Amino acid sequence: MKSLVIIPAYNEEEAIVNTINTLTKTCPDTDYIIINDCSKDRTLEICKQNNFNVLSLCVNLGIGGTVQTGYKYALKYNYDIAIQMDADGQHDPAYLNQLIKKIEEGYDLVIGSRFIEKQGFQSTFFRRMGINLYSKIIKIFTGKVIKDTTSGYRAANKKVIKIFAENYPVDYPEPETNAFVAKNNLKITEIPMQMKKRDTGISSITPIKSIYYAIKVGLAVMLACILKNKEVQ
Amino acid sequence: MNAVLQMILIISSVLFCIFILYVTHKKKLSYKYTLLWLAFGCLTLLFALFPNIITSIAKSIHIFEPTNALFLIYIFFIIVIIFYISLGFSKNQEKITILIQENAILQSRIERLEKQKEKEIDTNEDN
Repeated sequence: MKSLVIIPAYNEEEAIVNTINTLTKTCPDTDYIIINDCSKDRTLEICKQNNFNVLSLCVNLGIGGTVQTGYKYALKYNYDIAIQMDADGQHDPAYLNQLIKKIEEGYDLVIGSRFIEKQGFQSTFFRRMGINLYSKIIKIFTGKVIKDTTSGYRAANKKVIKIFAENYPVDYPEPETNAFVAKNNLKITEIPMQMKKRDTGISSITPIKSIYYAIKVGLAVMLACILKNKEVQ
Repeated sequence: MNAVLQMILIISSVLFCIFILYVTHKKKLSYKYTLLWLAFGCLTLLFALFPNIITSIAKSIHIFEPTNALFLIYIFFIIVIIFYISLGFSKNQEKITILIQENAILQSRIERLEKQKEKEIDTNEDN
C-alpha cells in the first residue's frame, strides 16, 4: 500500500534536517511531505537546500489547516495510508511500520499512545489533565477508550484521509477528530509508543491560551461526540 | 417627540439611505448587506415620521419610557447584524483556508513539472 508521512512544520529550522534524515533512513520506501506553515525562520530554505519534498503555505494557517493540506495532498495523489508526524523530533520513525501494519489489519485510524505502557516522555501535568478529560468525554459519549487523545502521531486509511481532507478543525485538532472518528463507527485503535521531549523549539501553546484552548476543544469534542455526521455513512 | 429632534432624525436617516445606495452603486458594498442596512435606515425614518409607533410598542411590551423601547429595538437589530457578519466572516475564513491549501498543492506540482521539463530538455540536448 502507498503511504505518505505528513510533517507539519512551523519554525523548525533546527530539527527538520535531523527528523527527515532519520525518517528516510528508517523507512526509505515511504513518501513524505513537509508542509511549511509560512515559517518565519529558514525552514523552507533548509528544506529546499536539502532537496526535501516540501509544500509551502503562503499565509500562516495554524496546525489544523497545515495538517489538512497534507491530507488533501494524500487524497489528490491517491495514497492509501497517511501518517501524521511532528517535525520536532518527538516522534520516532521506528514506529511507522507498526502504525501502517495496524491500518493494513483493517483499522481506520491508529493513534500512537504514550499512556498505554506509560514509558518515555509523559507530557506535563496540566496537559495530561486535559488529555484525560477529553478521553473521559469520548468514553462517556461513544463508549470507546482512547487514552492519548492529543497524540499527533497517527495513521489514517483512505476513508479517514477523505474525511479529514474535507473537514478538519483549526487548532488543537486531534481530540476533536478522534472523537469524530470514534462516533462515526470507524475502527480506531491505539498502539503503545514512547515519545521524546521535543528537541528544539517551544510548544506552540502559551499558558494564557491553554485555558481558552482547553475549553474550546472540550466543547468541540462534546459536539463531535453528540452530533453524528451524515456524510460519513 | 421634539420637532427639532424629529427633523434631525428624518434628515439623517434619509442621508444614511442615500449613502448606502451610493456605496452599493460604487460596488463597495454587496447587495446582500445593502438590504440589511437599508432596512435599518428605513426603520429609523419610520420611527422619526411616526413617533407614535414607538410609544405604542413601548406600551405593548410594558416598557415605561418610549426611548428605552427604541434602544431595545436598535440593540436587537445591531446584534442581528453582528451575528450575520460573524457568519460571513467564518465562511470567508474557510474559503481563504481552502485557497491557500490548494495554492500550495498546485505550486508544488508546478515546481515538480518544471524540474521534469528541465530534465527532458537536458537529455534532448545531450542527444
